[in-house]
Amino acid sequence: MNDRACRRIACLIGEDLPARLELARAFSPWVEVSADGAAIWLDVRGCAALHHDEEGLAAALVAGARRAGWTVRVGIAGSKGVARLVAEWGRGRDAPEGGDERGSISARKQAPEPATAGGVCGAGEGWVVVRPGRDREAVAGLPVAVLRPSREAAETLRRWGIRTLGQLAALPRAEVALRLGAAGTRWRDLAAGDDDEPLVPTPQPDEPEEQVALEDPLSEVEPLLFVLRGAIDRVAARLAARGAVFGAVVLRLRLESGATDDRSLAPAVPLRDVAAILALFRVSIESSPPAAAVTGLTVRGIPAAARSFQLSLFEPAGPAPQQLAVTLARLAALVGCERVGTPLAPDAHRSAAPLALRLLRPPLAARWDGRRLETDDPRLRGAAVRASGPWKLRGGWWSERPFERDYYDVELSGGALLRLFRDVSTAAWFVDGIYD
Amino acid sequence: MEAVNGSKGPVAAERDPQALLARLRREGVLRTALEVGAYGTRPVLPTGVESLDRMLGGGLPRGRIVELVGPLSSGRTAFLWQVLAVATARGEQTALIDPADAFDAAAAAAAGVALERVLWVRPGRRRDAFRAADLVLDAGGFGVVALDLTDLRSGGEARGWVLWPRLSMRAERSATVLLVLSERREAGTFAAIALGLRRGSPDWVGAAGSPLLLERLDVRIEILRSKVGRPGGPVRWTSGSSEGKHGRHAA
Repeated sequence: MNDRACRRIACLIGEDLPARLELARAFSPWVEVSADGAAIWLDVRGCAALHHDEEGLAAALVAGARRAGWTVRVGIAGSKGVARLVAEWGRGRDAPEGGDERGSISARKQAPEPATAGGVCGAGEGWVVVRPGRDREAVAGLPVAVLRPSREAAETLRRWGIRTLGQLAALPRAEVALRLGAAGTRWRDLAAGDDDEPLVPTPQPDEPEEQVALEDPLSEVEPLLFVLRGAIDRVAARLAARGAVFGAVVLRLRLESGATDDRSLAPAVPLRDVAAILALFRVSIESSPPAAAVTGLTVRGIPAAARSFQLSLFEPAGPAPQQLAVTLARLAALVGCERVGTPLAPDAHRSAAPLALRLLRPPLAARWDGRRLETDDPRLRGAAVRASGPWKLRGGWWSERPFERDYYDVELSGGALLRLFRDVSTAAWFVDGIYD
Repeated sequence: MEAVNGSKGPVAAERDPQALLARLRREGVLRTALEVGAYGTRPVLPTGVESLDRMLGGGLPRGRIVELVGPLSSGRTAFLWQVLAVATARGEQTALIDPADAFDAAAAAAAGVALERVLWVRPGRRRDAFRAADLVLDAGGFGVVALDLTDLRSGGEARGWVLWPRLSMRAERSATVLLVLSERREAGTFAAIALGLRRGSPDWVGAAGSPLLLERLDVRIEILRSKVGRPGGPVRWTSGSSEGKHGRHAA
């Protein structure tokens, strides 16, 4: 048997494209979406054994859609075209008698069902399976209007007396090509069961998503993380299949109250480590638990290319970027985003301290009479041994918060060396920092 | 011994050989073969204070806890900046856990610290400071992690002694120098080295009747405890820029 004879294609026809895609990908990794989005084809070679036979597979597809609350029509055949035809016009459907390729149907009548007698097709509620090698017979009774020919082509076929696909298949291929062009050849091949249009898998969606619906609401962290891990694992596997890693992760928790709780992680560098992502979500959930029990969740992975880093021959190796990203996220969860990072010198002209200075943020209110310092901190009070100043500093006059200060350096009898300032506008004294 | 006795200068001037030996051993000039072997294989981070590095066998031991202990204004922060400046100049990544939010970035940069190689974490609580240090050490790859416990305003919080074994293990695994700044010793036996800092007299300059300028700080550094060598010191180190009061003007 040649390759074409081995092909088995399933076609899903229905309304909800994302849902159909999810369903299709659950059955086969090779999935193509038609250009108009109406049909989804699956390469189901080798899949039938999982469901006893192809009828079982088709019934499972229909049942899977029904469980999710929507309907789908399924056709399985040896080619994409025939699979779509039997899915669209398989049972109890209205087949057009004539029309154009824009789908304007002039008249309708009950379509003849594909030949189920003689073992050509198997059929059930919502599905039709064409036996291998019987594609031509399966669609022979369908009117040519199901091919949606243009008005001119439809008129030509009518003049030839061609009403059904069986009649079209009987025409010489070269003559059809001569008179109807490439489209006519394709229709004739399809009708003859010779359609060899390959299945071109549609790439996975940009942001793979996994959903979990829970039978019982979860109100504790550990069970929730257990479920979450499975979902993240699956998204990670789907990203890995295309050579991507997590650039960001979005988690939506569906709550018992009907509300949703959205959380997202955007690590500093792309991550592939599921345990790390789970750890970050643990921190997030533990620090701010959801408002109600969780009835379901959705994990969406924002893909990013995995980065490679070149180590320097001449500099010490720093933290591994991915590990550092996890650490930064954990630190941010622990102390707050605004309290982790690289220090920046303020973009202002300030007097540089001659010695190392420990700043007091905010400055500590003080009373200073030139000889003795009093503050609320017992270590920062006492008689002065020596003092110098004032060192005047004025700034911010271009902003809404101008300041004018007189700075002093003071050595206390207890040994502390302090920097004080007096706010000129309020005459209040503050300890700015400690020389250390 | 011949080399020592035959040398000139202040060493040769020592009259009592036993006292001379004791002093040289205390200063780290003379070491036993065991110590030389240990120093030769142990990775260290130089502090840039030559006499202290010599006593420490090359510098601060990597993978160990080093305590900087001293009262207010004893020079702990200045010494920390000195270590950070040396480490960042070598291209190493460093981290500063600063619960008091006391880090003066502008002055540290002026002191030679490459800020872009410093991860600055400002936990609000002492307990979080230990957890932050744990996380940073766990990440690995940092040459120095400084845990500044010199927090004036959190003296009432419980001490985190139970975390020292964990931090010690993490530091060893990541070959990181964990510097702990505090007013009294905190890490106990988990500290490989404890350096005690004392301040000498501050260097006020200026003639009588004119404004005084606080120029430099004379710091005495003593090795209070050492698992890798022996206690010793003190060594003198001067903190502060000779350029003095950059941008300051007397009124």
